[in-house]
Amino acid sequence: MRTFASFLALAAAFVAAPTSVRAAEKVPTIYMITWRGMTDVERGFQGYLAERGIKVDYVVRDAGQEPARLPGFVAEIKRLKPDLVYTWGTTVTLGVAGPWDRVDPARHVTDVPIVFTLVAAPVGARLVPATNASRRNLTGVSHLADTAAQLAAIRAYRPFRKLGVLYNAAEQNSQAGVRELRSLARSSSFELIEKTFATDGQGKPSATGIEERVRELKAGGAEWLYLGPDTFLFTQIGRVAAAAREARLPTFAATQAVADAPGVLAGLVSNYVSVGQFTGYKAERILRGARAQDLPVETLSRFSLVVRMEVARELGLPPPLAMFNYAEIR
Amino acid sequence: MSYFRRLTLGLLTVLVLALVTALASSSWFMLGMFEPRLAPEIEKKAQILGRSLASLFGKAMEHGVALANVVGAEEVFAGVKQEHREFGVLVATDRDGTVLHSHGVLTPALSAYLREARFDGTGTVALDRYYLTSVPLARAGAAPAGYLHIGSNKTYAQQVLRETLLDVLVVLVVSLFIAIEVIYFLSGSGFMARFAALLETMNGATRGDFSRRGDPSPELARFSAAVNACIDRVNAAYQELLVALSDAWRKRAQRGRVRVRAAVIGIRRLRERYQFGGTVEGTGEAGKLGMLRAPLFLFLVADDLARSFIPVFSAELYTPLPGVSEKVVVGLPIMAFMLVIALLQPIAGTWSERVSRRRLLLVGAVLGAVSHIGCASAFTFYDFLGWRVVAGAAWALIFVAGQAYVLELAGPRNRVRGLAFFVGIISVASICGPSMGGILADGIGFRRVFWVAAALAALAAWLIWTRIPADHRVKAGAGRHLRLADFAALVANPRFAIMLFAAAIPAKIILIAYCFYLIPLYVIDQGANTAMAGRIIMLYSLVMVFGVPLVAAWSKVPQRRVLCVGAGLLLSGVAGLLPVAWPGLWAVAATVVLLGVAQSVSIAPQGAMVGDLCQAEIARLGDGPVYGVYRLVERLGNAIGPVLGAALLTRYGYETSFAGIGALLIACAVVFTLVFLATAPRHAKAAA
Repeated sequence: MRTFASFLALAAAFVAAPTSVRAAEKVPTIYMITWRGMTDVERGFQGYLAERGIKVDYVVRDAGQEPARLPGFVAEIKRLKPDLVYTWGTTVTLGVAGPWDRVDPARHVTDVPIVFTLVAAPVGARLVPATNASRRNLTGVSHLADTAAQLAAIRAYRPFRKLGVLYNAAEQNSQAGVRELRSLARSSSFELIEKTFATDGQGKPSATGIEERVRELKAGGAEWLYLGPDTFLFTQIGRVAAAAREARLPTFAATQAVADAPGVLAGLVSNYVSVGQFTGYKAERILRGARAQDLPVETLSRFSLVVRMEVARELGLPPPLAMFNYAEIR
Repeated sequence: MSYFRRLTLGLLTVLVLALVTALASSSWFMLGMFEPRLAPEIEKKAQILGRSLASLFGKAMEHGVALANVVGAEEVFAGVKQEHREFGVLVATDRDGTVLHSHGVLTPALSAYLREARFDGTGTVALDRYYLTSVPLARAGAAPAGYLHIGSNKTYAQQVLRETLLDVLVVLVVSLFIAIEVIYFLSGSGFMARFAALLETMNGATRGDFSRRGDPSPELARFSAAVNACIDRVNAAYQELLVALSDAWRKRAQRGRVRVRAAVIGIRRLRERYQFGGTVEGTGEAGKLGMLRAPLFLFLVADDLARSFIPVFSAELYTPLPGVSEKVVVGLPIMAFMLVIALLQPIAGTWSERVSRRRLLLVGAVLGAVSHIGCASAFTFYDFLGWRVVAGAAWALIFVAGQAYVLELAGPRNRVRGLAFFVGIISVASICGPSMGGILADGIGFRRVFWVAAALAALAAWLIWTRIPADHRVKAGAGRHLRLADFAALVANPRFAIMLFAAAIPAKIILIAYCFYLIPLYVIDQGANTAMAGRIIMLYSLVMVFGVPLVAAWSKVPQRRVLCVGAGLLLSGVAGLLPVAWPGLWAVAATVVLLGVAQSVSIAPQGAMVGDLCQAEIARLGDGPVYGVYRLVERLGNAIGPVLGAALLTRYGYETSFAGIGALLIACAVVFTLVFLATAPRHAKAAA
């Protein structure tokens, strides 16, 4: 984020002049794949590039939460040869780029630079071996605060000994997140109580028994319900939040979309527009000639702690006094 | 040297008296001016702080949290108190004066005042030990729901002054020691050195050593000529005696054998008491020691400068390590430093017999300077850790080479005094280094202190380069690496093994566990600051500096050494238990002083005992490997100290940690004393 900010200042100083020259050049094409339609992230992304005076042609495709559509997009990318591919979320990015250690040039895009966004755990999902440089034709932005920082935020609100988590076992981003929670549970001595969503006959997650699972977490002694970066959880957040409220279990969200849902108590989240802008900054650098493999995979450096007072009052859990100084109270 | 000592002591006494008088009178004067000016400033600050806290309470209330239901107010108050030590108590009450949230001591007068609830939320009242400032707590535009009362300590001005005075006292003590070092340095070169050498020759003569003549330097030509004339006269008389005796020997047939034999026996007795010769010119070993002193002192001070803040600096660079708690990680640089010293010493010990000591000292000092530059410009915790390892290596080289040099200059008869001299330099450095480093760090920042350290180490290197004469003492074949067989050979010596495991290791464990780890943390835990921790720890070295030479002279007799070591262990144990019986800062100060006494009593005799216990091994292996094993094992105790302290503290808290380590030391004292008392007579008989 520091590089981002200083780049903004720097770029503003001397990029204004060459813009007119560049207007005569070929307009680059960005192929965008979304997972569940346009979000604030895309608005931030496109807004950033427009603000920077970069003319871009967009080809926008939506996977509609269907992984089966991704191979078609890959084929289309190979045919269209755009200048940049934009991918939203872990599933889309993995479908288009493949894991770093098992790339198949036939099934994955390798010759067009990819900028991903909103990937919760780029290393955990095996998109990159490390975040400092991807060593492949890909870079991107994560939207999550460091898990330890999230736990610290929960503790600052109310200390706990047992943390509940409800997640979709079929999602790689969720698995990575839970693995990290487990290791933190060992090192900072708290107990992690895990529940996964029910699955239907084809192994797909289902909403049945959400309330029961939340009640079981509460009965097991969980003092908080952690709402991680889980796409299925996001689709069911209304029911999960209501069930937690019913069970008087405070909830803490890792992503803005979940924290925005009514009934969620608190969250340490990044603003999706900012995530999109930061992704736009990476795209801009690639369009200006930087190699994707040289750009670090980063997350934002500023996050908002959001607290919904209506829920806090109902649960009888007002945030600690100091939090009124820095939290975004809703 | 006794003339010098008297002179130095006299000068220092006058200096100390003058400084202390000046300090006391000026501070008394300052106190009178300080308080009236400070009080209104504190009140103003309390008002500003009160308004800012009131707005925070206001936000909570605006979001529907009733004043009584506010959570975490105590933590906010505690944070304020921690940051601004002039505030002694913070209380939030409702309109009727019922206490809702508080932090600090509610004195009876304060409680009574709050119960009366006559405050209107403005102005300041004096209540026994506080000045109380009250601010209304309300939502914007609403009537007050309660009041926030901030009590400023009336004694704050005195506290600030006391802190300042203590700092001045620290600087005073340090500057006195530096003055002594300067005197030593001057006496190690030029006119003073020759003067000292001449005095040494005279002292030697009064003890019956006529083997050395005074240096016939031009400045002291008449004086040394007179001294030499006396020595020459004695030697000439001795020569005459020898000639007469050999004549008598040749003519023994005429004069009878018995009387000649009696005369030969008489001469032999004479030789036992006196040394004759007069051919060696006084080189002034004391002067050489003085020359060695300055660079050693500079190097050690450079290293000690950072000691008071290394944990804090490590914490600044700290990056989380999975599965390891921050406390342990932050302790790593200390542990790594100690461990490198422990492991490198035996190797360096063999080098010191093979390579010239001067060269080893030079390498150590340069390496030290480089390591400080590295620390000053460390980017991450890991390169800092790496540079501390280099610093440990430098320390080990300097220690080994310096000790070997000192022992060689002192000679076998003065081993204990030589060791005491060496320990003395280390102690003086550890008085001056950490305390000055702490004060410097406050002023110029941690990294610049490392630059200062680098400059000092470089100066030490320069002094070694220019002042220390090359020593070509290379024992061919004597130097070799320490082998496991050496350990086996030495540990097979049961008395030596008992000395190692019941005395050397435990003594180091309690020293490092307390002075490097437990006490600094305990002092902070008791509500004092790091400067106080620094001052308390400084007491240890202060006691050592005066204690070690005193005991060194007394423990020249080998039989007394066992007693010294046993008593030292027992005293360490008692010191260790003090804070259990009597918690608080005074107790740990007493503990540190007592630890200093205990270690002064035992440290030099213990080192000398190595020579007593391992005569056979030294004859077989050389003293390098023997002392190498001793130091290695002893320094492993250094590395165990913080680990044991950390483990006990995290599991059981301060009291049990102090109790456990104290009891361990007492048990060791009992074992050590019993074993040596039981085996001593037999050993003596065997030797006879």
